Amino acid sequence: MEFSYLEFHVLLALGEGPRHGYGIMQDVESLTDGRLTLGPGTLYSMIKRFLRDGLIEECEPDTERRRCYRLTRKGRRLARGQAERLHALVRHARQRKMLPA
Amino acid sequence: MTRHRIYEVLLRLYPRDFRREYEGELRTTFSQLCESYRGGSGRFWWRILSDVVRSSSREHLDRWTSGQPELGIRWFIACAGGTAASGLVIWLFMLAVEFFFPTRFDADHVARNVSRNLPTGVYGTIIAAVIGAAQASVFIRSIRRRVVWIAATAAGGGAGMPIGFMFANWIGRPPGFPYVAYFSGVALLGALVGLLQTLVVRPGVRQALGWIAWSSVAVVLGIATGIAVSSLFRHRPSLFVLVLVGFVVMPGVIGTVIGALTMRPLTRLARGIAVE
Repeated sequence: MEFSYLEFHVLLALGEGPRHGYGIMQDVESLTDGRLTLGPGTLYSMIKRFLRDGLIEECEPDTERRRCYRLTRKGRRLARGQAERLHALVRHARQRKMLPA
Repeated sequence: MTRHRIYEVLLRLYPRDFRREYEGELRTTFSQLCESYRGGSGRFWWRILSDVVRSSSREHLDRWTSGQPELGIRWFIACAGGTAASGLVIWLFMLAVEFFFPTRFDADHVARNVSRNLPTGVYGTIIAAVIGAAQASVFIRSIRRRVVWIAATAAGGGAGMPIGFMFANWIGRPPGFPYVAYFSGVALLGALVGLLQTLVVRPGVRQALGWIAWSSVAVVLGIATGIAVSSLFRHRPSLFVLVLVGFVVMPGVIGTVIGALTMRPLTRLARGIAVE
């Protein structure tokens, strides 16, 4: 399963632990130094698909009764797979002197 | 009107079931975004509007394609492209027949044109085979099943075209309703193709009936739209425009309508069977 750039960042944000929607948005912004911004609609549309595909699951709501989500084992495995592919790509880019060693 | 009131109005763009599930969360997240946002109002609304338009379209497509938007889009492109390609194939076929069997004039000056006088079933078979090949390539993995799908579609087109014409002539016997007669024949053609296709994929009875009905409606509306569009070009067209409209634009429009209308039943059909 191949994730888009945005999807992968959402999975990365959830890799740290359970998050509510706004927490995910903040995390994605900070992971990308503000280059990638998510809107609420895009985020929940993605959450709906991730839930349907069994990549994330809902967990206990936080103290403010906001719905929280966490990665499932399957979601973590697939996100790791993509991270490894990206890592291999970066290694190749280094070998071809497109990135500093 | 406050930001929240505007956002509430924008939320109506989402499908009802998505709203039912996530409206509360969307509002909460929007409120938090409003509180923390440190930028201009224009930029803020650009971000929100582009988000709503993009995600609501995605959600509608998701709903329309039973949660398989990629398959739906591939199917739509296959129908539009396959039907346009079938027009080109027919044109090339007619040129080839004309090359091998050129038009002759009898002693009484009557033109004998083979390519225009072949049985309608020949054209129906070619058109349906090309469309069927495009369709099979996007949603059936097994090569054997693909071949069977193409054969079934070609058989539906080959038999459906003469049967449809016969039916149209029968319906139109009391003259006065030529369009009703013609489109009844077209509906029968679409239904026959749909019926043979369901025999290949063997879905449940309900899905099969739905597929046959949608095939019939889609072919009727597709051809009606194609005729309407091509009539826009009827005033003194050049030969190039005539060929382009007749063999590419009109079939392309027909395929676009068929693809759009059968996208939903196809994704339902694909969900219920192991062809993807």
